[in-house]
Amino acid sequence: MSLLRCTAVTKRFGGLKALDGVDLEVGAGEIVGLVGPNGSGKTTLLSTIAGSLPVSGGRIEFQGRDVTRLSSHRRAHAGIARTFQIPRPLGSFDVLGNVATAAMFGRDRVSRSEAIERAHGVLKRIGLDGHAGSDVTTLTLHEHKFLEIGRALALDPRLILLDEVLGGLNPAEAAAGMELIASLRDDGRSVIYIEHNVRAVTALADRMYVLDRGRNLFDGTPTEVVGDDRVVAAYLGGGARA
Amino acid sequence: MDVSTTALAQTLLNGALLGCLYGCIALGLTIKWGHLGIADFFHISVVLLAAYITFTLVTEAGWHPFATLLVTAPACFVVGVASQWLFTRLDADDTTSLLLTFGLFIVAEGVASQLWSADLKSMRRDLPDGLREAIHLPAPLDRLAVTPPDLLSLVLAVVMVGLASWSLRFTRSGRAVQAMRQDQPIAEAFGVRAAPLALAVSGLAALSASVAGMAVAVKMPLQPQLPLHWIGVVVVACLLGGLGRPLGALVAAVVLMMLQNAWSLWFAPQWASAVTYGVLVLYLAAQPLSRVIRERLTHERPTRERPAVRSLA
Repeated sequence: MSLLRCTAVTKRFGGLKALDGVDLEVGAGEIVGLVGPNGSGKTTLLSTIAGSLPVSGGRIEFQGRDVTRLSSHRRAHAGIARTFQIPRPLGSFDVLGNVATAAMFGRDRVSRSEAIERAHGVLKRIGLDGHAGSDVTTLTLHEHKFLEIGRALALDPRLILLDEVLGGLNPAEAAAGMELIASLRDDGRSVIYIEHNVRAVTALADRMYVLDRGRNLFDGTPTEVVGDDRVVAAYLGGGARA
Repeated sequence: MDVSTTALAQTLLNGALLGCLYGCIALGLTIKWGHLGIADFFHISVVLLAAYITFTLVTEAGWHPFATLLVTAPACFVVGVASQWLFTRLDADDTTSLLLTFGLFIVAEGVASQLWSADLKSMRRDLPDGLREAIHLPAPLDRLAVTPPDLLSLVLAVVMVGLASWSLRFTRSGRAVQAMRQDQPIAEAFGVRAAPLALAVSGLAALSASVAGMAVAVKMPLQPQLPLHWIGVVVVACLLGGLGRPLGALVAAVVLMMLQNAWSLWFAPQWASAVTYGVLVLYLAAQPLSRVIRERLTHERPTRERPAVRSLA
């Protein structure tokens, strides 16, 4: 059974159809890459899955349960966590506080002391244990991005939605990020992973979906996706293969 | 004019205790303003309405002032929840909520005038003996005296502000409120139930108005225009103390009332309220300078941890 199934998901912003009948499926322990040109609806789809945006049509099932109308906090309790493209740490909490707050209200409602303990574990895993008491404004870009992943991990989710978490990182930082994402699969967690860097996605993903102008363009293995003419055309323009 | 040390001390003490009462009134406002983003001036009217209900129950039904909380506390809680529900339903932005609450503030004065008339209403004669006689401080301060209603304000301010500050700082719900204040979508993505939490916070903020109202009714004669006298000090105390910081609002209210009272010793009392706004203007004028100094310090020591950052450990 699929962990997540999106069926004909549609999202309108006034007269603009950002998503137009998108289908997507994620299995347990699977990393699914979601790619597409700018404005193709990737982040919008992620937001509808997380419950940050209500859908205009279609259905979203998580673990066989219809979650289409559930609010984002209920989806977090159900086991869906997300990161944001532009890191949004809570500025008046330190690094540990950011992660512990996520742990406190996530899938398991843990006590304050348990949340702190879990947060320390998460910080160690993402390599920020040396910054536990630091002000979040002192973090570098890659630390901010890892903190986003850490906060999502602290919810102990079954599905993590990653929105361009490697964007803007140098090759060494990106490699560490890819290693971290791959380790999520080893935990048995599923991941939907949006990234502009197609090479990074193909290296990590078990399967990929390609969106174009709010619609499904193609899905398949990374090898199939990068070899498909329609995908190349969508990214590079119609005459790219000519 | 010569002022004796005793007169000055008594004046400052009275100001500090009156500031405690204003701190009680400001508590709900600073929480709603700071954590829910709603400058709810109607909260000040709720204090007065609670005071009038307390007055009615004490003078006409013979209730003890504390017992009136059995009626006013749930009633105010419901008013707080209903107002927050209304703001959520209307998806009210800052301007809309400000206009709405100010409109309700004006309407409440009319309602109070209709129900209780514009005359002064005092329940001093109906108070238990223990709440009427002045108490002298122990030696060597025995030349100073306080009244039981003033002490009541002090105790209520310490208890309510302490409880609110502790809850915000150390409880799960307080943590959720802080997260919600900073970034509601992020807090919801963490699993924080923002909508019911906002209703509860608003209800509890309004509940504090019932306690403040009881303290007001015990301390002073009531009249419908009282909120117009309170609003300056209460709003300035919230701003000076830092929105959403109950202890800050209390300290600011105490300092403002001490300054106002001291002013009245040497200058025309009718200008005393201008002291409050003068302090606010000075504070706002100093803001750019303090920001520059803060940025300099941060720039010189970029890795230094800011003291304002909250740690869980």
